[in-house]
Amino acid sequence: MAERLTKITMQAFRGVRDVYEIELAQAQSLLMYGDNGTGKSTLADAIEWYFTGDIELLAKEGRDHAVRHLGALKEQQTLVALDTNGDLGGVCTPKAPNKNAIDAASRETFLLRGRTIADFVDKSKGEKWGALQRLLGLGAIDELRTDLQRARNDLKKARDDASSKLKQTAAAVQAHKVEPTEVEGALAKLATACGFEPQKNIDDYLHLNLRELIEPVKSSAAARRTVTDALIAEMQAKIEVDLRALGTWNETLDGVADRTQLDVLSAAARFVAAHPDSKQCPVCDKKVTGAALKARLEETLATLQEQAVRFGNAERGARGVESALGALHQERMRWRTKAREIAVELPDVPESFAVPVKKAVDERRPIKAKEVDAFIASLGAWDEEARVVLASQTFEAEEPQARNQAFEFAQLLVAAKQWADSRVAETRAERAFAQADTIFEACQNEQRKYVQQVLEQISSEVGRLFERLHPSGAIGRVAVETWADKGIELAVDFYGTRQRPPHGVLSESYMNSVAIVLFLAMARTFNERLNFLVLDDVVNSFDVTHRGRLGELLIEEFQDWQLVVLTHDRYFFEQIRRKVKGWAAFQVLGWSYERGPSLREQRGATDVDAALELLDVGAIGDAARRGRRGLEHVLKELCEGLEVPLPYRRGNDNEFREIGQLLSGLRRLLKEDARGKSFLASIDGTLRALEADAQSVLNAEAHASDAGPSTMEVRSTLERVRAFDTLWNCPQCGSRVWKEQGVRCRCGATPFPPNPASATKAADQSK
Amino acid sequence: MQRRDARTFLEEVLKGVSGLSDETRDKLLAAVTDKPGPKRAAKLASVLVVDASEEPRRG
Repeated sequence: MAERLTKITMQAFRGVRDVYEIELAQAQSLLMYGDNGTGKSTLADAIEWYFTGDIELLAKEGRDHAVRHLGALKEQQTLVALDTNGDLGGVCTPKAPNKNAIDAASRETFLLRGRTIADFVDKSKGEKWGALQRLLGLGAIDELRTDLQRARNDLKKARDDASSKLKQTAAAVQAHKVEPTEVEGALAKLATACGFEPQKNIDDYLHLNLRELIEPVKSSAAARRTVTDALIAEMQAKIEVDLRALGTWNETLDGVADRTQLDVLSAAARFVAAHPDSKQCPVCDKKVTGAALKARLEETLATLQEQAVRFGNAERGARGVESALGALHQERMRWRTKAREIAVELPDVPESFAVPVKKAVDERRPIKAKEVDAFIASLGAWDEEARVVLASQTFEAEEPQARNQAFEFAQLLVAAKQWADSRVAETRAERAFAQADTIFEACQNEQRKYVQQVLEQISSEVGRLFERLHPSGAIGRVAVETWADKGIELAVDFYGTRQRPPHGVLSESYMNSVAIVLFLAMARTFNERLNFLVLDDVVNSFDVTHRGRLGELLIEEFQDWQLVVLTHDRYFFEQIRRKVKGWAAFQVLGWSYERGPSLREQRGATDVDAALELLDVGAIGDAARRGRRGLEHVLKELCEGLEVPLPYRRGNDNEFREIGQLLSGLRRLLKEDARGKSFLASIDGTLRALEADAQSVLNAEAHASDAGPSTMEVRSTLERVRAFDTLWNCPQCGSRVWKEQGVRCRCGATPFPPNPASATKAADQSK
Repeated sequence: MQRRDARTFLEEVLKGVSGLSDETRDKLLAAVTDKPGPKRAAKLASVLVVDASEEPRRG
């Protein structure tokens, strides 16, 4: 359903501190006139906020908070409530936008602001493009493109940062004279040098306890030094072996005459001891009791007994020497082995002399003491030599190398890890940017295609509406075209040639017209839900002729639409108000911080109508003032429309002309025009009367000290002003009759100058 | 011809973009319903960052 607004309520919103309502019970159009800063645009803001969730003016630089009136009371929530004749009405607050309305309006065109037109006309290329999107109601799509562009730019920056980081980390690896691509091989080599297993990749090293692996390497030199010192200390001990046992051994052997007999007897004695019950001699096999045999043996052995004891003691002594000599040899072999563990090679240990000693004892041979002494002396010499070897070891030269390798490994691992992480991050950042870039490009292309399709669809409507504003036929098809490197521009047919951008050939007001007709054509072609249009100060650069044409276009072409026209242009307001019936018309009298905008409803069609209403209620002075203002407006409109040459006045003074000055200018123009002379003669009386009225009846200040004009005088004057105003209207189409090209009413029926007789007749008829 | 809103427009755009997972598409479309501006742009970027970090896992 095509929806219209029936009531607009604002509370604590923008320029409204308390509550402000505008009732449009019949869903009629609304016309509002007011000076700058009186709160007209608050109404447009409310509608924009309700249907988009945003106010474009506040969408930048964190101005969102300005939705709320600064002086609003705490208990008053900021809200906009809209009643419609459909189902899109409801309430919108900062925290609860009306999603239903926003969703419905997201594919519709309903708001045109003067500043959007200004952006479209004279901003930079990018801003113009944004303004065109807003004109067409495609702002949401353009905002999406902008956000995708922002995302792409952010990701590009992230990619560039990641690339820069990768370069830095690669340089850190290269500082170790290793190419990043070969860092794993370099780490493996260092790991081997540090004495632990190389890993397959960088992260695997992070799972190892490198402290433990590297620490022994760092301390090995100290350990070796400790071992060396201990060995040297052990070697300091003097070799002491008691060799007196060897002399005893040799002497004992000399005292034993027949050592075989001794052995046999000893063996027999051991046999009897082992076999006490034997009844047979083990030598001759004769029968004999064990006890008898034992007694006989003891008798035999008695002489040898002493020798046997001495021999046993000597043998034990010799065996002790053998053991001591063996221990000395073993100890040196152990030292040599220990030295080898710390990579120190000691001289060969002299062959052990324990073996020859053992053999001599076993064979009951004497042991040469000199040989034993020589052996012990050779051990002492070996000790000395080994001490020299150990003392000559210097471990300091190896130690830094081992430590450096460990440090090198650790530093390279850190650099390699940072490089590997940077490489992963850079790859991801590159991938994200590439995807964002693809999406953005696709969005831009799709947007261009879409806008092109939209413009093609509305092109004929744009041409037709533009023709109504500028009947010269100079402007043809409007479209979007590609320009230069991916650039997009609006293009128009201008006197048969394609012009891109149109700004180059069209004046500001023509561009203004292009903007307005694009908006209107868009709404008419595509709107499905919304049947209202809000136009906020859209005629700023129009002269009076084009303001008039736009007013007529809106009234005639958009009869079946609800128009909300907000303007600070009095002529535009009056011109529309004069021609429409059933519209709500308000004048914003002013704005205050506490009360917000003050409105006065304009029921009469013109100032004269309003003045007559005031007169009816007895407000003679107010009626006179209003009538004077009405006369001023008519004269200003005439002078502007007829291009009356008035002396230039600096600044705002140029806008404020006295009635006498305007009348003089008008007379001068008519006098100088061949067709105007006779016309001037016919209206000169009226002009003189109006001049006099302006100085007397309509001059409230002149009557300040006396009783003032009577009701009848004011009424008569107001009727004269009305007749003069009507004189310039075409009796058939109601549009103004200007001087341009002989005929300048819209229907063409009334030529310049207008005919006073027919105008009077028409005025009488309208009465 | 139908007028498009931002979401349906992005849907159309993403049809022509390969290499995005369904999850990423859904997240991008969901982000479009946010208020336009830098925050939404950052959200869109973060969706693509996550997608890029997950791509190797998708193979």
